[in-house]
Amino acid sequence: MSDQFNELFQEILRDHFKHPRYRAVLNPNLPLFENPSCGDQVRLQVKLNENIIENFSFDGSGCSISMASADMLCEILTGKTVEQAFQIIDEFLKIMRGELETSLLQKYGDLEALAGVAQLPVRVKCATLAWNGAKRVLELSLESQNG
Amino acid sequence: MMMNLSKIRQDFPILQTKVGKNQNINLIYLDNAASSQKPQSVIEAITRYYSESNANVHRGIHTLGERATSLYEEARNKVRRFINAPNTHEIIFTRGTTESINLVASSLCQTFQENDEIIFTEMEHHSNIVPWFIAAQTHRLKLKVWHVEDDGQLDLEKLKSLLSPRTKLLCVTWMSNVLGTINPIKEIIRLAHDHGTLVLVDGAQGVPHLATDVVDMAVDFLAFSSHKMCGPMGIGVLYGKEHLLESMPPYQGGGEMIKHVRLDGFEPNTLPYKFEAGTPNVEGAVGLSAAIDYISQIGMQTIHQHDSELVNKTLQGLEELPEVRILGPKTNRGGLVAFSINNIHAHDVAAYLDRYGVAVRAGHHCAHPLAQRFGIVSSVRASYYFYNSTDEVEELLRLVKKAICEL
Repeated sequence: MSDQFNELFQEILRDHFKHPRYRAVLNPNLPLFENPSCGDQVRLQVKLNENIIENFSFDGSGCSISMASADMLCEILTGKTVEQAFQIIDEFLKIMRGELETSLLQKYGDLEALAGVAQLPVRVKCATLAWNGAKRVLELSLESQNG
Repeated sequence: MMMNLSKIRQDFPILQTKVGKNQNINLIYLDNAASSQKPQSVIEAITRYYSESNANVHRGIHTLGERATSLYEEARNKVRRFINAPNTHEIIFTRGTTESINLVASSLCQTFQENDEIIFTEMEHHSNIVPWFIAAQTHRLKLKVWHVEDDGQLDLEKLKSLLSPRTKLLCVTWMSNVLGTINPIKEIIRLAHDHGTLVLVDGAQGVPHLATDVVDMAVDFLAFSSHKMCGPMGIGVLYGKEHLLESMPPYQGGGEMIKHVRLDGFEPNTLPYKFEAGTPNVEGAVGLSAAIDYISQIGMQTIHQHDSELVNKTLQGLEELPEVRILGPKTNRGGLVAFSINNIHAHDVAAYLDRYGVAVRAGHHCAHPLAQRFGIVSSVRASYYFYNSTDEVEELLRLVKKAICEL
């Protein structure tokens, strides 16, 4: 797996892990998303203005892949519409499950750095933790808007 | 007996494997507590079984059926001798430690009364915790936890205060898969028996590394797996005292476990078949038998001494690194060391080591309560077997230092 490892530890991932742009101290009452098998934890907060995501931020702890992935998620989804966000999340999750080609990640800039992870079944759950969480957080915000 | 390490290593084809980007790095396999590697003799025994003897057991009145049956029953007898069990029919073949424990939880607990108590320790693997939750729910039993001390050991005084006339069963691991602690199993069993409590021992880590004598231990149930002791996956053992196994209802229904079936009921078979429904894992039994031959020829005392040598070297090396926190006791430990490094996630350490061909486990090692107890999310675990060398330990230590600088 070490050839894929090199890909994984590209500077991009390292940079997002060591110098996250979207990490914030979030309210501990926000829902917590966890990977019980490795202990990775993430909280996410979304600020909506009508249908536009004004800001996505995260808080949590975990390995470099899970935290870098959370930071990239926030970067990519900030400024998108809710519909676009759902579509990007679904596409990313499908790529990680091996249902879509990893080359599709190219259009999302830094996210391409996670292409190697799709080939590492043990690490896929690290990369997808924040994305599954973000989907849920968006659903909850829509429910509260409509409710 | 002194071991000839280079000769032993040649017996394991997988240890000659090269890994890494250019397939040119020597594999350093330090994940033996998860699963051990297999010597050529085990691989050949399985191939030979399928080439020469494969058929269903206890059924076919033909040459192959007889060959398969005798190989299967010879394996059972081999296991009996290996753990010094009095009777061959006290050896039940299962899928592994997990199924062995589930068998006891599902069957023995049917003989318990509401509010009877079961004690398990805080250092148990999930497979020696969850079956008791399920049984407690089904039969309205009470569960009590025997907590671990700060030094990673169990305090027998605490057990005394937990045992009551209602305590039917104590479930305890012989050797912790995270802390490496070797529990004083004879004293624990004696104390439990003084209070009329039965003891189930999880031998998944203990049996592959320590000489096992169920009579000397006086253990009531012992569960262990083949794949952690050089045998194949998918087969394990439950040893149980004859009178206890006799008193327990069957576990699963099917072929082999019955004597007579009528349209209004059945009569269960005698031991051990009462607990072995369906076509058994004959290939697994044959492989386990060859594995027992292999490790017996090295000797369990020698294996334990070798484990201790590697672990002491690891502990000395890691203790010099201020960023490293070692889990578990300083003494009374088996062949594994789990540790965490400040500010570096265990997965990142394991992925880094893998780059240099070193296989370790990272995570909570299937013991969530223990991880919570010691306040760590996940740790790196190096676990040894008799084919590991001090050179491999040195390489691990060198790479851990390098990881601390680079990650």
